[in-house]
Parts: sequence; C-alpha cells; structure tokens
Amino acid sequence: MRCAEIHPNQAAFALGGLEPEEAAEVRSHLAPCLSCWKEFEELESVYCALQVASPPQPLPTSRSCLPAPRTSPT
Amino acid sequence: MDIAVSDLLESDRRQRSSHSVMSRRADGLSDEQLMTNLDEPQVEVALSKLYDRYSRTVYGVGLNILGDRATAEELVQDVFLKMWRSSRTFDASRGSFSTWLYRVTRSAAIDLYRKRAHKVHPVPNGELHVAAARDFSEDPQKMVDESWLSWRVSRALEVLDAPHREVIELAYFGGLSQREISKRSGMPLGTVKSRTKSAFKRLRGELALEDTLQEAIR
Repeated sequence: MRCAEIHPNQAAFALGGLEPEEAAEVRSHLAPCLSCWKEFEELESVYCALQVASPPQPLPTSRSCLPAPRTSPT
Repeated sequence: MDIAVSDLLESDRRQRSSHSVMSRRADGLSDEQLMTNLDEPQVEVALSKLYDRYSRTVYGVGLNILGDRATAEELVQDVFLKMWRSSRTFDASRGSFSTWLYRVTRSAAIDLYRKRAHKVHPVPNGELHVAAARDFSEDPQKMVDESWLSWRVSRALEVLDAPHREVIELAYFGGLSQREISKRSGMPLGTVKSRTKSAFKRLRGELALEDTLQEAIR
C-alpha cells in the first residue's frame, strides 16, 4: 500500500476505528515507513490527550449562579 | 453504541447549535471583551454568554476531579459566582481568559474535593467510606496535570466546528467505527475518514497553540 492510501486512515487507526483488514494494512505500512510513522505519532498524541477529556456534557441545568437582571455583586 | 451516549450526543448537538455556537458567532465578542462587561449594565448578558461557552468545560473537568455529577454541578455554580465576584482580578495582559478561568476552577475544585474528603458516611455493609471522588492524596501534581490537560482538550473540542466535533464525539466518545459513522450519518466513508483526520489535526493545532501561550505566560 502506498503512503497516499494510508494517510486518510491514520487518525481512524489511532482511534481503533478501522475494520480489521484495513487496520492490518495500515499497521504493516507504518512499521517500515518513517514519514507515515511520524505523522501517525502526532495523531496518536491527540488520541492520548482525548483520554483525559470528559464525554460531551449537556449544559448544566441550573443557572442559579447567574445574576438576576439589574443586580450587582456585593 | 450505548443508547444513553447516543441520546446525550444528540441532545448536546441540539444545545450547541441553539446556544453556544450561534452566540459566539453572532456577538463576535471575545471572552476577554465579555469580562470587561461584567462591571457594566449588560453584566447578565456577558455572564450568560461566558456560561454558555465554558460551563461544559468546567463541568467536565469537575467530573474528572470530583467523580460525581451533583458535586460537578456545585462546582459550576461556585466557579461562575467566583468569576463574577472576582472579575476585577482578571488581567488580559497576563494571560488568556481560559487560563484564568481554569485556575479559578482548579481552586474551587480543590476546595470541594477537600470538603468531600472529610465527608464520610455509612454504607450498607457498615464500613465508613469516602464517596466517589478520585484519590489524589498521594500525587496532587497528577490532579493538576490531568485537570489542565482535560481543560485544554475540552476547550479545543469546543472551538472545533460542528462537523469536525461530531466525528470526534461519535468516534471517540461514542465508540463507533468509521464505517458505523458513515452509515449513521449518511456521509461517504472517505469523507468520514478525511474529516476525522482533519479534526485530529485541528485539535493538535489548538493544543499546540495552548502550549505556546503557556510558554509566553511563564
């Protein structure tokens, strides 16, 4: 597989979101290809950062901390 | 995908489209400009906009540190009250509003964490137990590092445009494969893949920008 065919799959590979056969192709390409490996490492660092993020949250329901109109801090 | 996560993502998408994203684009005011409005008659509007932009991030970081939704909601209340009452301590020349609010959040979270650590209550088997907050007592620096990274990632996700944020939320938080996202959204598989990669690159850019800003502040 050529580099150009691997590039679109790199982020999905980091996420574990490829089908098994696609993942195997990316894996076998990355091992010997330094330029693709470097790019993959950059994308993988984003995946690692996501691991400390919370899942998407709805806006907290209570807005009681916000001031009522025409009040000011004491 | 888990139904609850799916519903949450959909609810979140609707909320974002009707609140934060539109307000950010419609008013065009930066966070720092809104902070200068906290002393003025439009304080309610400015606070409400900042709340729309940041309450999810404060809540998410609070959930990571404190471990339960009720205390994370309490944190949101504390942080926005402190933000309002301490707005004069914010100095835009010393750093971004986001960094300042992170410090306010961390300080408020530590206060709540300490209060909770002292709250022990009986559980059915008769043992005393400290409720669900994570234990950072042996490595408080870990809490600081994790909460800062969690804050930065949350902010980076918030500033992504909706299509890019959606693929990340479905792929990472929803656990869907690229093929499943394609089926669910109706997007061609190639578009899902390229959008996922593009979203990753944007996130990386945002996180690197934050690093640069932090270096500038130090």
